[in-house]
Amino acid sequence: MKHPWLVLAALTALGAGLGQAQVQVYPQKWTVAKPGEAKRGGVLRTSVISDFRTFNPFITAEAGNVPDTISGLHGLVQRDPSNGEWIPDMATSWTISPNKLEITFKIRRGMKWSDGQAITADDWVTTFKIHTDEKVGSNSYDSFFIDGKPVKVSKVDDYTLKITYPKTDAEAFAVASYTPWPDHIFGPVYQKEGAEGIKKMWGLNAKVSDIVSPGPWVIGSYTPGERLVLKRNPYFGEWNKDEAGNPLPYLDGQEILIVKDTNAQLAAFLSGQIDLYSPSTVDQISQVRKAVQDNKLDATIKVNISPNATSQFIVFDWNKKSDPFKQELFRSAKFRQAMSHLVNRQAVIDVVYGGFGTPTYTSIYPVLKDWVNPAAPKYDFDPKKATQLLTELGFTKKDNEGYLVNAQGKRLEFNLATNAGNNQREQMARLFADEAKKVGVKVNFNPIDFNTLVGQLQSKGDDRPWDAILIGLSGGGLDWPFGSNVVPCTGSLHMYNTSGKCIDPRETQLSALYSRGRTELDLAKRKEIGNQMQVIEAQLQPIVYIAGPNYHPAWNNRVGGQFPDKLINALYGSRTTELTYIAK
Amino acid sequence: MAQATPRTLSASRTRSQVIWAQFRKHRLAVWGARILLVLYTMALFAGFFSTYDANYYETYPPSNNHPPSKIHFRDPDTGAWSRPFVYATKRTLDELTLQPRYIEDKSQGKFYIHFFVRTPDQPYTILRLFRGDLRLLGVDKPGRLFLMGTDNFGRDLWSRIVYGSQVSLTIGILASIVSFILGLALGGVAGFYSGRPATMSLPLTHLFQPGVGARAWLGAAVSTLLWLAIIAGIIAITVQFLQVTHGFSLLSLIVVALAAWAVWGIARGLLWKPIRIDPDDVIMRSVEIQSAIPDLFLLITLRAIFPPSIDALFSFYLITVLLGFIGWGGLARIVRGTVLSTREQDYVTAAQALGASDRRIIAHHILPATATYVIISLSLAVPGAILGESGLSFLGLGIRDPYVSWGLLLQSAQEGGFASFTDRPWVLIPGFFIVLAIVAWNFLGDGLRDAFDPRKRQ
Amino acid sequence: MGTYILRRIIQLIPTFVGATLLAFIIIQLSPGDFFTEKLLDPKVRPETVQRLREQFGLNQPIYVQYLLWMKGLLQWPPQLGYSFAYQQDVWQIALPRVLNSMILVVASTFLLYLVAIPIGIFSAVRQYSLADRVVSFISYIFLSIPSFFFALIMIFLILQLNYAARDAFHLSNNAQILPVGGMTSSGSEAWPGWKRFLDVLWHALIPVLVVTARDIAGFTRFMRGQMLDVLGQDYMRTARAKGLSERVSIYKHALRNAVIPFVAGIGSILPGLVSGVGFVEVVMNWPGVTPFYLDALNSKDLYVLTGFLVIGLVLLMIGNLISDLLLAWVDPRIRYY
Repeated sequence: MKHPWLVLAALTALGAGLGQAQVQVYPQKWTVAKPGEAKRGGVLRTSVISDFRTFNPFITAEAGNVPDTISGLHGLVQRDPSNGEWIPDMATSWTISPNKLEITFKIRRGMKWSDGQAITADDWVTTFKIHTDEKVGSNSYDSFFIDGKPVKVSKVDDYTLKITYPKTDAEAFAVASYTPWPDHIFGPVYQKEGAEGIKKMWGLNAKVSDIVSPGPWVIGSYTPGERLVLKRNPYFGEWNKDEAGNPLPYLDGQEILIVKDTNAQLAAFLSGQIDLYSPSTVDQISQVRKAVQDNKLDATIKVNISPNATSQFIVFDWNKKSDPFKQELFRSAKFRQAMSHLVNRQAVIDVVYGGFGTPTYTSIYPVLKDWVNPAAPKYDFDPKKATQLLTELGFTKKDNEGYLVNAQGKRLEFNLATNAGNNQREQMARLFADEAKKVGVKVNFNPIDFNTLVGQLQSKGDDRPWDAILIGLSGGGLDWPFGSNVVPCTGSLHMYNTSGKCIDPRETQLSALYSRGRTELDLAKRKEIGNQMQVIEAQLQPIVYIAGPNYHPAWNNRVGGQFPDKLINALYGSRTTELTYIAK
Repeated sequence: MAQATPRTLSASRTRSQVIWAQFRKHRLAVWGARILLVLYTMALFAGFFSTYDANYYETYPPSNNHPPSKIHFRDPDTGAWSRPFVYATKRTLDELTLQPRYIEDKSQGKFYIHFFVRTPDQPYTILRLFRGDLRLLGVDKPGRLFLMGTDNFGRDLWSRIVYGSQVSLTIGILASIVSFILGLALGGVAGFYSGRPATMSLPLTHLFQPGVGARAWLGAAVSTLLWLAIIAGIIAITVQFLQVTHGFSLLSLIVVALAAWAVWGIARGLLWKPIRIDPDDVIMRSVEIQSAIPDLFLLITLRAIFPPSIDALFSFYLITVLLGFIGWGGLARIVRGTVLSTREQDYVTAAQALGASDRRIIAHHILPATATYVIISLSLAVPGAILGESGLSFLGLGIRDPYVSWGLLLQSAQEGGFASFTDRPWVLIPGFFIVLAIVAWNFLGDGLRDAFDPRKRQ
Repeated sequence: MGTYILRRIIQLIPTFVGATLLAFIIIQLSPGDFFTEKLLDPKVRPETVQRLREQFGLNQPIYVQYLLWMKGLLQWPPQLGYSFAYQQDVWQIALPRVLNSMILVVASTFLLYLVAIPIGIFSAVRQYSLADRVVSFISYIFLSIPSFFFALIMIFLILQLNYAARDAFHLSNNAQILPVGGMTSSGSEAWPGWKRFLDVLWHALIPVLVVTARDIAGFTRFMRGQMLDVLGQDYMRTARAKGLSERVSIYKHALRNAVIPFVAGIGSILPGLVSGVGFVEVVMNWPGVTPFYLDALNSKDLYVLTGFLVIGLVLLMIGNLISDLLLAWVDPRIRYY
């Protein structure tokens, strides 16, 4: 018995589970475990790549941070991983006002913080206030604004909450799904000391017993740079049960190792020190499969189960006043289509992703299967078509070095940059430059420092210092998967044209369609608009998409309770920790 | 003097002869020199010795992570000896590891290995002066000859090793030369002149004394201006500090007091008491200052300043040299330490008594005492630079495509993790070349050290 | 000597100001800052980034930022500044990592001197013997392998060792003969002190060996060379001639002269205490300074970088002073004025 306190925690959880909370039942379809198969107890061991920075939910910014982990990202509503729809979570029901600008949520009764206090509407209101105080500098600040206008969160009574939106919004539920933090802890400090007081709270050297969580976990201990130990929040099981009525989570706790090096992470999984692992390269996959084959490791790996939610692309600079030749070239859709024909996506997948990647053609990540428009035209790898398009642009002859020139003798040549140190991007750029050379396009590839690159991308005006940049984006909404600052001409990540004005009529069209889709609440209609946008995106090729890696989750067979295969993907992962249990 | 000159000349001739004879006795050193000769020849004629261009690969059929080609000397059917040949290969995916596997495809026939092949599609240059396309070895297309396998692009590793030697065999020397010259010179000066401060200002009161000429006036003017600039700087910083920190506290009082004291000291020096500064202090304190320079940020900044149109290799060499200018501190300190001890030796005092010039004493009596340390640290600095360059690749600041170095090759082996050991061990070959070069350098260093050591001579 | 030490202490002031100013400027001149990465986050508006920069004073001129930082440094207790990433005092978050690294630094430095000096002396005394050649050759190989690569090889070997041991002794599926990384075992928080101590030692074994192997090669070469130099000197012949035993003449006369260059370089050992042991920590997953510092480097967490710089600088200046005094003690001929 290594962990006497875990047993104690389990006992209290059982005893306290007899209250009369409005219970939320986790459906059987979210787990492969047969009813009654799941065992109680045990510790799940996982790893994260970067160290934790703070326990404070209002200043945390890194991926996989502590507040997200202990709260399990519970909010008023959650997405059903089986179909992506919004379903009740900490709210039991909601009503939408006739003008669709207000949603009133009924908060589940009987929910408690990990210190035993009741969770009520005040918690959401205070959390909202602190997130939207600009002096706090919360990473969630911008998510409470729609087109620069603020969302309002107000209390109707202890168990009723009203959220008011400045305009109808497809992402209304995503906004409402934020995690509440305890008003009884943050409220008094915020009132007395304001933002400065909040920023001083819950640092890494705070007493872990002071950290209060609404979700399945509380912090057991934290060793800087090494590991975070979580234990079950006994109050969570009062309102979260499986179909048989057992309180959740099943696990006594979690142990999260901080492992900065990918090889070290692989070694930890191979030697059975961590239970969950997502290999990202074929080299890692092969090591896991070999160890399993040789009976050295009892594990499951799902190769290629879905694409990842990232995209890699080449973007051309449309604002080059001082170089009219290039400006005209980069603004020509034909040129960009030709460039798309020169992107050998299969070679990228083979060389860069070791055979396990997915080609991308529009801004919709391939993992969003419901959103991808299969009818959108694809300008796939085809050097002949590229040559033909370039001929149509006037590049008919080749100079003595074998590069295409136009009638004025101007050579088809441009610089391509990506961030130095990112090997995958450097390899993609190398492949592109080599294919381009074969048809006579001179691409001067030059990796540069990341911060310099961002500086160039973000430079404003009608004369910018770069030609083409290969970079990637990740993140973004699932209800309206087009970037709010990427698609509209005024967006800060409208990278190809930062003049603030639309140049191409199709750009204007995309901006308008984006806003229409964002305010459209009907999913089917929204998808229709999305399809239309993808067709325009494909023809305009403002951004030449390349390919992205795939998702291959692996886990040690001592843990059970993962999603059925058809639910596993890069968006929802392979399991919920609430339904995970230790089988052996 | 006229008689002495020929004597020294003949003596030095015999001296170099002695050294040479001594060196040749050192068998390992001679071997080291031979290995280096081979490696440097390989680097110089990289185009000729490589089988492909360092960046040549085919996307179809792919040849990524191809093992070294099996070279046959016997006909597999008849068993008869034949000219060496290879078979074409077919790529499949291993069912278990999902890694590419290559099997020989005999249906395409044999591809004999030819000597002195022309590859017009992959021309090369020697020192960017002579163009050529003649290569030592090759096979006819579509056959492929990978003497040491390929990387994940399908680029021939042997060719990359050969081209990589160009960078790896020069970068270490280049990085060391600047810092060693500076370190030796400044360390020597600091140690020798320690405790003999130089006068850095000529006070007004001294200027009007008899015997003060025009040159002194000029010197006084220049030094006074410099000191005045320093005073201005101190005052400016202090005022800014007071503004930034708002109002008075004990801290600002201390800062003001210190500044006033410094200004007073300089002013006194400009008026009546000359400022005398120990060169040892100046040099050693600048060593401390430069040790605080964050190399990586300097590198990033320099990279950002250079326009992208500059050749990547050229800018890398330039940056290496620039870093040499701030990398002499450690050696300077150690040379100084040795010099501090040596200058008190009897033979040095004797030379001084005989009226030898400082320069002569430093060059002929003091610096030789540091030879052992310098030769060893040089032969350690070379591997240090080769490996340091791979560390820079780790951070995205090293050599990169289209150029290649051994460090970069080793770095990509590291990136493959355990698969580099189990699935494609040939990517470790660059490591053997690094070992070879470093062993050769160190043998050579040992030999030189012994050869220069007069006490070792028999 | 007293005035010399006083002069050196006075010189600390301009050196400190010059070094920190130069370093600060160079870091700030490199492109971008901590918030640059946020500009590529589709969820964050550029105005938000601008506001954050203002909040953290990054919009002020460099010299103002420098002076404000300097003001913090000069306070008592000195303030190294706030980390942007952790929003906490740099010293507070850095200290546990520095202490973790110190385990490796101290252990490997100790091992280094314990092993390298005798080997170096031995190689010099028995120059060109078989043993000398074997030692030299091994040290060349260690010189040629970057330590991060060596660490990877070690992890691979440990993994195979653990697998083999499980098969051979029918151990459970996650039993370990040697750990593949990390500093403590899972669940060790609840163990008694002595067991935790042994646990850390068990984890430190391989990283210490890797670090020592990296440094030992160069050190041995220097030691051997210096000893060879000294052994050929006249006074050694005199010592032998006057009948002193080989051992006494080596350890009493030769060693003292041979170590002068090392004593001169001793100043850089002190800053080594806070700088960690390099990439080995990353590869072997040791929660030390290097992973932490690399993070700060990548995200340009300004005051973490300058904080380490200042501590390193102060330790170097003190170390150099100590080394200069030691020089005079080891070699009484050396005089300072």
